[in-house]
Amino acid sequence: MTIGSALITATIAIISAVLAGLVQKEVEGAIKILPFGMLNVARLIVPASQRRDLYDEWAADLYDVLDGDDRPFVRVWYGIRFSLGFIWSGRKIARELQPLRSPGTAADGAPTTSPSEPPTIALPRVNVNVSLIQELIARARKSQESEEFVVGDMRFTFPIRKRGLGYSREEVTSALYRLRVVVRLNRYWLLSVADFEPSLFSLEEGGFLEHDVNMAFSVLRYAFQPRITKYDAPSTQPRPRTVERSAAATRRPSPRPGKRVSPRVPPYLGIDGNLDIDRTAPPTGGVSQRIPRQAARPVDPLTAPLQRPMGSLRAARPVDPLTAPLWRPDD
Amino acid sequence: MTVPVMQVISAFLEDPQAKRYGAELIRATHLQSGTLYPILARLERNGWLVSQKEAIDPKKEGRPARRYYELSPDGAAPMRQARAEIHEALKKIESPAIGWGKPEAHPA
Repeated sequence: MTIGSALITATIAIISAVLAGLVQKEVEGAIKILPFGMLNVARLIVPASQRRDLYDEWAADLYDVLDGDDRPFVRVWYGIRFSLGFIWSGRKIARELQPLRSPGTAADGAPTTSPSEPPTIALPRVNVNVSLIQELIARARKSQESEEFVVGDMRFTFPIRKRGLGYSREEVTSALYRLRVVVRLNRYWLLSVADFEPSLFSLEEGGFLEHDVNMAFSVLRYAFQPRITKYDAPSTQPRPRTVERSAAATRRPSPRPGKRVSPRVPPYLGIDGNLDIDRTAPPTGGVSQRIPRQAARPVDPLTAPLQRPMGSLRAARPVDPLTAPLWRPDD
Repeated sequence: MTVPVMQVISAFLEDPQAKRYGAELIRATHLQSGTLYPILARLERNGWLVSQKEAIDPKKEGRPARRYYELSPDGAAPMRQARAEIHEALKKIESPAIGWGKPEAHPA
C-alpha cells in the first residue's frame, strides 16, 4: 500500500465519521419533533384560555421524559406515549383546572373569556345574507338538515347541525328590525347582529313578530325533529301577510313504531312546533292583532321568479347551495 | 377511590414535604400521563394538592420551568385517612374467609 492510498483512506474515514455524527445529531433532533408535535395537538384541544399554562407544564415534563433514557428510539416512544395521553385527557384536565387556574394568560392572542362563556367571534353588523349564511353553508356541508328562506328575491339556506343555530329577535320597531343570530360551529360561536328595514317586508309589527317567532321555533324544532322546512317569507308587495310553507314542512312525520313523540316540545308550541295562536280571539292590539292569512300555495324556492332587488342586499342567484362554490366576503 | 389515585396518594405520602413534578410522578407510580395528570388536577381542585410553577430562568437552566405539586396543609389528613380506609378494605378481602385458602395436600 502506498502512502497516497493510505492518506486517501484516512481522509475518507474521517469524513465518514464526521458525517455519521452529523446525521446522528440531525436524526436525534428530528425524532423529538414527533412528541412535541403531538403535544401541540393536545394543546389545541384544550380551551384557549388555558393553553399556555397547561402546555408549559406538559412541555417541561416532556423534556424530562425525553432525557430519561439513553436509547433514542425508546426515548421517542416514551415521549409519544406521554404526549398521546394528553390528546385523550387534555380536555378533562382543563375542565378540572378551569376554576383553579385563572384564565388571565390567554394563549395565541385568544380572547380571555369567563368560564361560563363560550369563545365568541363577534362580527358586528354583518348583514344576514353575507358571511354568516355562506359560512354556514361552507362549514356545515355534511349536515342533512337545512332550512330555506325565500325573502323577496333572496334565498337563504341554513344547513343546521343539531343545536347548532340559535336565533332570536332583539328589537322590532317601526324603523328597525334587528336579529341576533348565534351559531355554534365546533367549539366556536359566531355571533351576528343583522338589521333589516321593516319597510322592505311591508309588514305591520304584529305580522313581523309572528313571522319572526315562527322562524325561531322552526330552528328550535331541529333539536328534536330533523327535516327540511321551506319558508316563503312575506314579499315586498303591499299585501296582507303571507307566510307559506310547503306541504313537506307542515306535514308531521309519522312516528316510528315504538317511538314516543318528543316530550321536549314546549307547551306553547303546537304539535308540529309552530306557535299556537288562537286566531278566533278578538284582537287586543299590538302583537296579537289578527292578520288575514292567504291560502298556502306550494312554492319551489329554486324556481320561483325573482322579485325586485332589496336595497343593499345582494340579489340571490339560483344556485344549489350544496354544490355552489364557497362565498367569500371579498367576492 | 381508584387504584391509580391510591398510587398517587401513596407517592405523596412517602415524603409529605417533598415537591414533585409530573414526569417524576410518572416514574414513581408507573402511570400513564393520560391517567396521572387528570388525577393531579382532581386532587388539586379538591384542595388536597397545591401546585406552583418553578421560578427559574429557562435559558440558564436549559429547560422549561416545571410545575411542582405538593401536599396542601389540609390535604395530608384526608389522604392518610383514605389510604387507611383502603388498606382496611383490602385486609378484609385478603382474609382466609373470603380468599382462596391453601390447597389441601393429597395423601400419597
